[in-house]
Amino acid sequence: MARRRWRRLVRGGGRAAILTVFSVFSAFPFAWMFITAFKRNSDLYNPMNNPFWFNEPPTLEHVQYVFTKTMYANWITNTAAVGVAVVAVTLLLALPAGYSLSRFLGAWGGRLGISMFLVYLVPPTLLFIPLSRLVSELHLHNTVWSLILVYPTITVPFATWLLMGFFKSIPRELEEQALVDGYGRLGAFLRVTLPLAIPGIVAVVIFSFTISAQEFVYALTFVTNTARKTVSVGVPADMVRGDIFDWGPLMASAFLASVPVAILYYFVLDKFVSGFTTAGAIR
Amino acid sequence: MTRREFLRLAGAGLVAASVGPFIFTEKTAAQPVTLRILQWRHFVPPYDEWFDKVFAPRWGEKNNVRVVVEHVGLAEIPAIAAGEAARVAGGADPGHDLIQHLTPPAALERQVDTDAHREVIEELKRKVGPYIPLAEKSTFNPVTRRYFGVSDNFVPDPVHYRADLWRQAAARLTGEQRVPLLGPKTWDDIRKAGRELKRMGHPVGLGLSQEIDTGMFLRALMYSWGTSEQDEGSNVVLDVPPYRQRTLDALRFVKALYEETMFPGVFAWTAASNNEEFLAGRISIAMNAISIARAAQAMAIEAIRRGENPNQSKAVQFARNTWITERAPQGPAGARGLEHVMGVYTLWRNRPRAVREAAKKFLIDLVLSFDPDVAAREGWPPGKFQASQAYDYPTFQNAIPKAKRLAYLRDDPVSKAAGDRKDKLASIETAYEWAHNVGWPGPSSAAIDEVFNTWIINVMFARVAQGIDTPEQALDAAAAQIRRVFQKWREQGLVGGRR
Repeated sequence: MARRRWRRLVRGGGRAAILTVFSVFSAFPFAWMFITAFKRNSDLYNPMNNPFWFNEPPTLEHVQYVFTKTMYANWITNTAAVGVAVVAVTLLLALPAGYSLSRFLGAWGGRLGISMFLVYLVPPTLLFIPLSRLVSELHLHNTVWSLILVYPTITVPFATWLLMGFFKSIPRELEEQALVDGYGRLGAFLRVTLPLAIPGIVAVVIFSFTISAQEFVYALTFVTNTARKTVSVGVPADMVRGDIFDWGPLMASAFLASVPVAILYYFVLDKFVSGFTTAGAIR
Repeated sequence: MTRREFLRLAGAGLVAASVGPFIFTEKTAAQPVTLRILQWRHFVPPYDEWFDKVFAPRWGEKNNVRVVVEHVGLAEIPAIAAGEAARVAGGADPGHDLIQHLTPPAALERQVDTDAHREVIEELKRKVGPYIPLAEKSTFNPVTRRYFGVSDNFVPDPVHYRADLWRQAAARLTGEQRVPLLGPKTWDDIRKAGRELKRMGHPVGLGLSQEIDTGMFLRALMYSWGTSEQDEGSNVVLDVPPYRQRTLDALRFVKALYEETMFPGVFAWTAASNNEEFLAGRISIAMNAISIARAAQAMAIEAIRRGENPNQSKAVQFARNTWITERAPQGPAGARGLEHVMGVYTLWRNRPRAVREAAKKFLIDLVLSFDPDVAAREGWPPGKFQASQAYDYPTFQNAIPKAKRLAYLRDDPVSKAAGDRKDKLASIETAYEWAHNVGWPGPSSAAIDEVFNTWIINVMFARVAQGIDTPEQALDAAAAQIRRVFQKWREQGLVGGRR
């Protein structure tokens, strides 16, 4: 009895220790951003000071700088605009594509899905030169529309592959039942299949939005007007002067941009995780 | 608030944010000619203020040209230029007309208007005199006999050192180990005093990693040892006698310098490390543009503004103790240094005639604006030299006569505002004698640019310093890689030489 309790204690302690280490590791960048964002420069650049806490009273000067001396508000707005548009385009294309590949093409659907997924693996550093010609031909250079056009080339293949797996896990019998009840294919899809695929759709939404918000190479090369940049380019491009990094404003910008995303993740985390893990569980 | 309400609210906010920028778009008035310029966010903020709010708009008004200036970080320029070059190659609008590069963009030669560059350079030579050899080698391709850019300025790369710490270290050294009390003159001085400085807890900070400052430091050292990647005719020579022995000696020296005076952090050096480590008081010696001295002075000015007593303020004392050497450190074959930043403007080819002419005139007037009297007369004071606080040095040496340069540097307003010695940076003037281009004694070709950006020299030195390779192994591997790069560019007709 005592041995079992001891074993349970050891197992629980070990689990807690691993989780603690992992949590500290994951939270460290966020904590560092927070501390640096509100630290005075005189505190930040003194190597004798404890780098992990405030040695002088905190300050809002970096946050003020970000909002008054840079176009941070524009960058955040542009990022949100591009993110929402990319999510919409991605869902519009990936939902029917994933559904068709999973339902109508049999074994070929799986092969096609994997080949589409492979497209996702081609790095933007190889694609930005040919795509930049395309953007220029369409006269979209220096507009956020260029990003709305290009980002789906990253998000749609992955989203299609993800949703394909998800639709496969939803029993065909449910749709067949709806068809027997008088729905057409589209009606069955909209009223029966889609509601069951909500976790997968949430995963796609978050994935697409996050990719759009953090992408750098396309945003750097297609948009150079300061007012039209997204946050991922505006912050490093406008807060690094020569070889001097303005760490306070840099961290303040990064912190402020990550707070809404963190809150969003908090509210939809369970759906997001189940989107990646519940394929096959509906049956 | 329920989860459903939160999601609804967040969704509405995002949609509103997404629609905003498309409704509230910028309206621009039609202008006959628009000149679009991309350049870096200058290290000296008042320079951008002057360029964006004084020079560009007033020049535009005077010449009936709408000038649009966009700024990005220096690290972002090559990727943007590569994207625009692809658009030029495809016959599309590149997005900008002029780009200011911070390194010689030799690989872009086929996409730029080399004739316009030549016309600008010849006109400036007629107006203000010679184009310095450093600039000629950084913008002229002797194989095609074309100018792939116009250099308006270069930024010298002196050694910065902590004068207070150096004096303490020098005082401890006697006999053969003695070093000058007023700062290093040779690489050997740096090695001797560096040992003491490391013992004092302030090691030497010269990078040995895959980044730009490391590339500059190691080339300066190689050139001072009498070796280099190529000869004047673009033949790869670093492993060919008599250069081979000199390269091996340089490799052995850097290994000793690392072991005796530096610390493992130099293998993780970044472009910001020189400044950060020096300004944090950790290292005692760094090689950098005068941005270290200027940043120290900026902190001193801030301290004085806060009301600190200059004679007691740590920031002011730190600025006063941040010195630059009079010249590049001497090696066995000479005292050779590099430019830290090479300002080179390029104009894309096939621009409309009116834009092309506007760009040429803009570049000519920009160079002429170095002279504060010319700038005042034209209506864009204080001019390029003073606006950059002597950070930008003219490549048309007489664009601002030497007397005017020295008059500013000997009574430097920034140094005075920082409570610092007012002529502290005057020795930067000697850079005309010791600053060389990347690839010296040959041109800064596309091959040299690729060798620089793939960090072949940096890796060669770092592997020896870490004890991974012997000097001979590292040299042979690097030379083989460099030859492959040269061969590739020779096949494209952009690089000369045979070996």
